[in-house]
Amino acid sequence: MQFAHFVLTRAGMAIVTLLLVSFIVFSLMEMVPGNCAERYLAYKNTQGQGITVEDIEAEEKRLGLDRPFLVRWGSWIGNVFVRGDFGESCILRVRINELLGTKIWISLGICFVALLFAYLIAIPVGIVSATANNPLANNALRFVSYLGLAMPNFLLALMIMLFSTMVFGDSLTGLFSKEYRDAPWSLGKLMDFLSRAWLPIVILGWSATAFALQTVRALMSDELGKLYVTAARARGMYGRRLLWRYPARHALGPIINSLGFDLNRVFNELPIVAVILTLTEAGALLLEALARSNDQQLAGAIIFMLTAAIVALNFFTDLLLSIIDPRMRRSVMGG
Amino acid sequence: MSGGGALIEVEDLTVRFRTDEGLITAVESTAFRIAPGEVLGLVGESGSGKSVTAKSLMQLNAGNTLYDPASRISLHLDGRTVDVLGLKRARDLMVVRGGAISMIFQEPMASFAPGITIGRQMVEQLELHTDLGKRAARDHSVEMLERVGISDAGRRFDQYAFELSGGMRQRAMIAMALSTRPRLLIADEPTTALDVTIQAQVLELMKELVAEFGMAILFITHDLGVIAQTADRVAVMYLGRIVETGPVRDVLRHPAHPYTRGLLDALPKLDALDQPLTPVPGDIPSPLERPSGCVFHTRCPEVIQDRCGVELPTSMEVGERHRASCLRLEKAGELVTG
Repeated sequence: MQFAHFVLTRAGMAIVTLLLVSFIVFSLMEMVPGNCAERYLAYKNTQGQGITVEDIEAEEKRLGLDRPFLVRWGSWIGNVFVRGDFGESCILRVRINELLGTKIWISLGICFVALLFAYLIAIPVGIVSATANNPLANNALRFVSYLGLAMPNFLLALMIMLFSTMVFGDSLTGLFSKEYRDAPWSLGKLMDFLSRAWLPIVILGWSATAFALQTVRALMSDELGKLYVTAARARGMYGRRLLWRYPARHALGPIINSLGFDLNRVFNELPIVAVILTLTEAGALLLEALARSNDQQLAGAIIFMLTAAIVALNFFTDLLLSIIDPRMRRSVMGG
Repeated sequence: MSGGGALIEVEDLTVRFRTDEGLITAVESTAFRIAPGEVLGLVGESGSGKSVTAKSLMQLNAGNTLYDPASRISLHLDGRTVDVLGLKRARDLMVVRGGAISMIFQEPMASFAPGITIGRQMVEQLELHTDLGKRAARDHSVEMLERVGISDAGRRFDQYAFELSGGMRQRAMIAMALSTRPRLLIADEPTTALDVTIQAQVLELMKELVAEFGMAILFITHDLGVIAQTADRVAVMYLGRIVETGPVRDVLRHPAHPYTRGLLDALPKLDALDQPLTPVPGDIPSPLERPSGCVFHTRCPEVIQDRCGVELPTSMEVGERHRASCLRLEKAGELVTG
C-alpha cells in the first residue's frame, strides 16, 4: 500500500519532469531564428527555386506554424507521448522517426549495456576490495582504475584499433560488416552487430567502471567503519551474510543514485568514441544534426529521447533505492 | 561470590594495536573477574582502554589488534570453560558474540542498521543463536520489546531505528541484547547519549532486568555517579591498567588511589555547589608516549620523585576485596585512608 503510493508519486513526478523537459526542448527549438517553413524554402532557394511570401505563408499553414506557441507545443508533445511520433525533419523532409530509426536505440543501448557492465564489475569488486586486506591486490586495482580514470576514451579506442589492426588485420571499426550494413535485420546481422558492438561498450564501460569502482570502494570503506557493523558482529553475524546484509546493502544506495548521472556522462562520451570507431549508426547523429543541417527538429527529438531515458532510469533507481533504504520512502511522502 | 565461582575471568590481558607509528599499548596486564549476576563498573576517562578491554571479551577489536600470548580470558558456562582468546573461527566466536555475551553501545541510533527494521535484526540474531522458527522468533522479539517498556511493540517491531526516540532505541537495543538470554551483558556507556531523565529510566530498567534474568553486567562509563547507582563492584582504569578495584561504596567513600580521588573531586557535589571543581590535572598522555613506571605518575599530585617514573606499583589490599596499585600504599600503608 505504502509502496504503491510511493511508486505512483514517483511516476507522477517523472511525467511532470518529462513535460517540463519537453517544454524547455520545444522552446529551444523555437528560439532558433526563422521557422521551419522559412528555413526549408530558403534552402530550396539556394537550389535555384524562386519563392514568394505567399509560398512561405502557405507552407506555414500546411505545417500548422500559424497556431500559437502553446498549442504547437501541445500538439508536438501529444504526438510524442501518444504515438511516439516526433514529426518531420525541417530540411530533409523525412519523418524523424525514420531518420532516428534504430540509431537512437543502438546508441542508448550501447550506453546502457556499458553502464550495466561497469556496475556489474564495480559493485562486487569494489565491495570485496574494500574488505580485503591484500595490499598487492588493492594497489593493482587502484592502478588499473586510475588508468581508466586518467586515460581519455578516444586514446583507448585508438590504441585498441591499432592493436587489432596489427594483430588481426581488422580495425574493428563500424558497427556492421560491409555485407550487413544495409541489409534488413536478421539473425546474421544481429550476430555481426554483437561481434562488433562489444568494442564501444568496452571502451565506454572502461572509464565508467573505473569511476564506479572508486565510488563503491569509498562508500563501502565508509560503511564498514560504522558502529552498526560492529554491533552486528557483536550479535554473532559473520562472513558474507554480514557483509552483504549490512554494510554492502547500505553502501549501495548512493551507488544506485549515481546511475542516472552516469548514463548522461557515458552518452556524452559516445559521440567521440563513435567518430573514432566510425560508428555512423550511433552517437554522432546529434552533432551531425546540429552542425550540418541546422535541423533542430531532429536535435530536439534526440535531446528529448536522452532526457527521457535518464528520467526513466532515475525512476527505476528511485524504486530500487526505496526498497533498499526505507528513509527514501518517507522522504518523498513527508512522514 | 569470590574465588572459583566466576562467570568470566580476565587474566594478564595485554592488548596492542599495530599502527603506522608502531605498536600501541591500549591495555596492559589487566585482570578482573565477574561473578554470575554481578554488576562490575569499569570507570575511566576516554582513552583509558575501557572499551578495548570490553571488546576483548568478544574479540571485537579491529583487525590490527594483538593480544599478548600471556593474556587469558576464560568464560565459565555450566561445567565447561571457553578460552575466549583461543577462539579463531567466526562460527566458534558466536558463543561470546550474542550467545553467552551481548553488548549494547553508546549510540543506540548508530548501532541499528538504518535500512533494516528493528524486528528483522532481532529475528536474525535469534535465528543465529536459537532454534526458534521465524514465527516464534518474532513472538519472542515482540515480547522482549514489551518487556523493556516499549508500547505498541508489534508495530515498533516493523519500524526502523530512525522512527524511534532516543530512549526507545536504547530500550530496543537492550531488548535485542537480552533476547538470547546472555549470561553477561556488556554495556558500553549505554546512557551517555541520553537525556538525564531517560538515563534514569534506562538505568532502572537495567537493574530490574539483572534481577530478573540473573545475568552479570560489565558496565562501562566515565560517570562515577552512574556507577554508584548501578554497580556492585567498580574497577578504575587508567591508560590500560586497573589502578583500583573494590566494592562500589568502599571505593567511593575511601578511594585509595590518587586517580580515583581525582575523579571523585572532579564531580560536582550538591551540598557544596560553591566549592570549585578540581579536575584531574593535565591530559591523558598520547598512547605513543606511554609513561614508564606507574602510568599515572605524569599527572599525579602525590607523585614521589625518582620512584614513580621507574617502579611499577603492585596491587595492594587496602580493604575487604578492595585493592589499589600505588607506591604510596606500599610505603607501610601510611596513606591508606581510613
